[in-house]
Amino acid sequence: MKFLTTDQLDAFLGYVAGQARVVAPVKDDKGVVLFRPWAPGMPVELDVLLSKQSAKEYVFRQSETYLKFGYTMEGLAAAQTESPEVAHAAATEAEVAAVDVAKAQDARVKAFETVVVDPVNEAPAQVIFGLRPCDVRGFVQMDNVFSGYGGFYFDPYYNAKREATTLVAVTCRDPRSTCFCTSVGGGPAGTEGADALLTQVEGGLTFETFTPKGEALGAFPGFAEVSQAQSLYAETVKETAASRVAPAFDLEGVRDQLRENIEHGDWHDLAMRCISCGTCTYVCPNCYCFNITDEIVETRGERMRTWDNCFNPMYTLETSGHNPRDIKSNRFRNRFSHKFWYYPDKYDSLLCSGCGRCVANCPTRIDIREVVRTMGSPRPVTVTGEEA
Amino acid sequence: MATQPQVVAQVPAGAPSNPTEAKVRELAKAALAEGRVDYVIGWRYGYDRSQAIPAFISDPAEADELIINPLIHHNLVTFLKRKMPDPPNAKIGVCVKGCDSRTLVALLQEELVDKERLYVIGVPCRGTFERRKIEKEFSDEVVDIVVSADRTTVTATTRSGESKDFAFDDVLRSQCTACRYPNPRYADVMAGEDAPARLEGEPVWPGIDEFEALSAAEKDATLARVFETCIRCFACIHACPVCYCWDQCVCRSRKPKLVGQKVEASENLMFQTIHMFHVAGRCPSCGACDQACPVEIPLYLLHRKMNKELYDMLGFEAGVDLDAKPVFQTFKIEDALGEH
Amino acid sequence: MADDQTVATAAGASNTGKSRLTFADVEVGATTAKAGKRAGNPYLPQIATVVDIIQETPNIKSLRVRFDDPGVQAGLSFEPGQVGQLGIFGVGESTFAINSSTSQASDHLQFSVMKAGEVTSALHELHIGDKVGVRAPMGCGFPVDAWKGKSILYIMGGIGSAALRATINYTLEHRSDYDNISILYGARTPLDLTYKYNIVEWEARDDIDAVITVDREFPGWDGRVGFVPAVLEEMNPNPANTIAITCGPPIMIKFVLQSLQKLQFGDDQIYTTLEKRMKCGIGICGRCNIGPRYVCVDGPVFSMAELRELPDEL
Repeated sequence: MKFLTTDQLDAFLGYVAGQARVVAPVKDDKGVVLFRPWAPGMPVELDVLLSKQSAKEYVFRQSETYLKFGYTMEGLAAAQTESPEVAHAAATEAEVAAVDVAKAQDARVKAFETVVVDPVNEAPAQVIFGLRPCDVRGFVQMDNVFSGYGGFYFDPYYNAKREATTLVAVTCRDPRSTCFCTSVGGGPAGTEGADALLTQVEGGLTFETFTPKGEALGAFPGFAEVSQAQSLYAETVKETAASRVAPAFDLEGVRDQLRENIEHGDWHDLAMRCISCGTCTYVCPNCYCFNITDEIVETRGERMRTWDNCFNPMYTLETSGHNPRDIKSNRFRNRFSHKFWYYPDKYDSLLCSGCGRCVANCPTRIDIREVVRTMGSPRPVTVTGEEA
Repeated sequence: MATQPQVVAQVPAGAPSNPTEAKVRELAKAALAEGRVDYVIGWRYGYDRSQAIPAFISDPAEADELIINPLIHHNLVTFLKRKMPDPPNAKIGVCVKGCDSRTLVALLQEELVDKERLYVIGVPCRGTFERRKIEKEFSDEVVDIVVSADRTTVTATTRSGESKDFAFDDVLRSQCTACRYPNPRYADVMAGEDAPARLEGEPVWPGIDEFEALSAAEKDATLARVFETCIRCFACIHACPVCYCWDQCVCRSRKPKLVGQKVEASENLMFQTIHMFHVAGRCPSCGACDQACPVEIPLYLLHRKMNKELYDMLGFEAGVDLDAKPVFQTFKIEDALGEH
Repeated sequence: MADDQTVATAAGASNTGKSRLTFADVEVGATTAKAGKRAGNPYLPQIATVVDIIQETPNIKSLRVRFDDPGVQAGLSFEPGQVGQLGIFGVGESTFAINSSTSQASDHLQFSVMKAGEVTSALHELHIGDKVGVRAPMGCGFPVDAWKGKSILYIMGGIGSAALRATINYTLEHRSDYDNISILYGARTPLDLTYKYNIVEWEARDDIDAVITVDREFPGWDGRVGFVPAVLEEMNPNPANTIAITCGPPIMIKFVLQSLQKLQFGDDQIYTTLEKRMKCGIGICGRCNIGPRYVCVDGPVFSMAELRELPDEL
């Protein structure tokens, strides 16, 4: 454990910035705290407990171009004037091979003679500074998905950035009433996934490292040795913080009950005040669903992925007009069941680190803790129609 | 099965704190008891007394949880729009403030909600709070907001017990400070005496003059800065009562492809501009979008600017008269001549 | 680019007998990145050329594609029932069943496309020689090995035939491995029947029982008329030692499943293959889930027994 005096903080960030991009929580002109690339002179906001969004965006970009492509124009003229016939009615397999009738081409040819495709995967070294232990766990939980835990696919885009990222967490001194990290296996000084952990104490911050990436930052010459008093102080801060997080629910049996209650009418009641926006998922440190779209201008284009969310009615809308989750309560059920049942089934852990951002930022203050307590425990039989 | 800890999700409301609140509870209770409605949408306390949340009351006994005070900023008309009612044919009682009622009128004018299935409880409104303004005055979390009996002082208290007083008018939402229609323009029943309008005569448009005074380059820079933080969660449009395209919305549709999916200031602003035009003539700038935005983008300024233009050009205000034709469904020769 | 995206069979057949194909060079559960390497990039389509286009019905075309990299094509194999992502750069990708025969995998892949949305409309505008992007194979195939010795009953409607064609071809190519093979195929009108050249073959063979039906009378149609579930019940197939596989519009699947239960088919005798809106196709992006199962990686093939475990979100 080392010690960083408060007046050395800027120097430390400057030192780190010499080696990698630094991303830190900063306050904007409206007083909203967001993670932003840091530059010398920018005040880092460590007193506001939670940034509006987690730092997820810096590893799993909200919109990320993952391949670029370009069509060459050679052949375009030929394709439009004298290319062989393309579609033909077929009666037998033999005829399929034989028939080759010339017919006028559709003028709206999109694909040309050749296409060149280049994957794009930029992953500069970066240090995310000042994120909370729950946000760090958010990355750990997303790691399972993107690294193909359980025999699934390995995502080269997420992992390149993840690998190039160092996570420097800060102990939560004063957890909010919406925090529930301790109910999902974490804590205000949790170290799971963290490369280093800072704890604010009298006069500065204690600095602990847990990985080689974290230790590399320990090379900053401005660190002092930590005194016994400082180290004891840090322990007290951590213990006090943990005791201030109210137990929100008991995980025991929640998954089974969610399975049991899947068709229960209480989902409708809980979803009533949901407006079906995506705020909860976009402020969440571990919601990871995305969309894929192409953009093209003339012959050059890119394919990108962008965050999507399961509350969006278009998320599951099929071309035919059929929508498996057309009803709001079905979409609502999906998010909570995903976090406490679907994901655990696939990845043997939870998809929630208890940051409480979804509670604090929901336009109608839907409380995930209430949802888990309600649907994660035995429900009375719903009254449907006239019979119970 | 382990027992779940008892953490209060919604704090109880207690005895009525004002006559309107008492009346709303009474009306809701009666409507439910008579079977006139399946449920009543109103407001109740959230997990503390510093914030209100939409309440869906189906049990008459629960009607006593309904509250009426300056915390009730939610525009509940959004729960009436296409695909929101659950079940779809529900008979719904709904509480509306003045601005909320104007969005309801806009929907009724366009025949997008069925009047027969509604029971509208009108709530005279003396303004609602911008809770974020209060929140930012403290480092700790605000858990209680109380208004003095004479409605001049607002006392906010944090978890640690720190209290501060604010002048009532200082913590009102910007919309409310220039409100000309505090009383519902349409309701089946009124839950109290009319509230006084804050402004009589010609409307004023707070914040618009400052923006209009900027040069074109400054406007661009301001908009780019404001929309840079948008996270495209679309809480704004989902909270908006007159925005109901849902599964057809251009925000994600590829046909037509009006907005790119890249999350950047220009695309974000492009989307909001389309939304502004789309709700023009129906939006009374109730500010639901603004309240829903998690990153506090002042969306109502866009809509207010549009409303100012509509008023100046066409003498039109959205949702004030149920019998009026929506502005974009009519044409008068004076419109072309700008003679309003 | 030959070894960039080699496709190989992974071990780990699930207990349903379905096998899963995955990218061989993907390290399972790896936590270290492979930045800048193309190795195992499951998002990266292989470029292929449209080599043939068949107008199956007024709004369905079959596109036959061949990978530009001969090594990729030569090394390709897939299971009947598996799917692929077929896309046009600049428009997007969509998921389609691979409907060519598994035995022809080293030569080409074929997809049938009904013109409906943005991507399918663009695919309909393609010409022979045009370039497409293909990610295939994906998902799980039908457990055709586990079905050896059994009778197979195919029940399909409209373009649902595309999802079963590779499987039908497989069982016909390995005819002696299976007992009776029956095909019930229905479409709205005779014009909407796909693979008419196959139908001619099926009807000509005496080791297949083929029943073709259309929803209502149509000028010039002297074949059977009736909805698929009703015709199925009339056929009254014997469930003994029989596997029933169905694919078609969701509403048809729903009623066929009911009919099969009425006919005493057990949950482990009924299979279907599902369609969902998909994006990544590799079990990450999230939208194709039905409860805890992703159609793209856990399906698209599901047995009735598996479907019973899932919420009603078909």
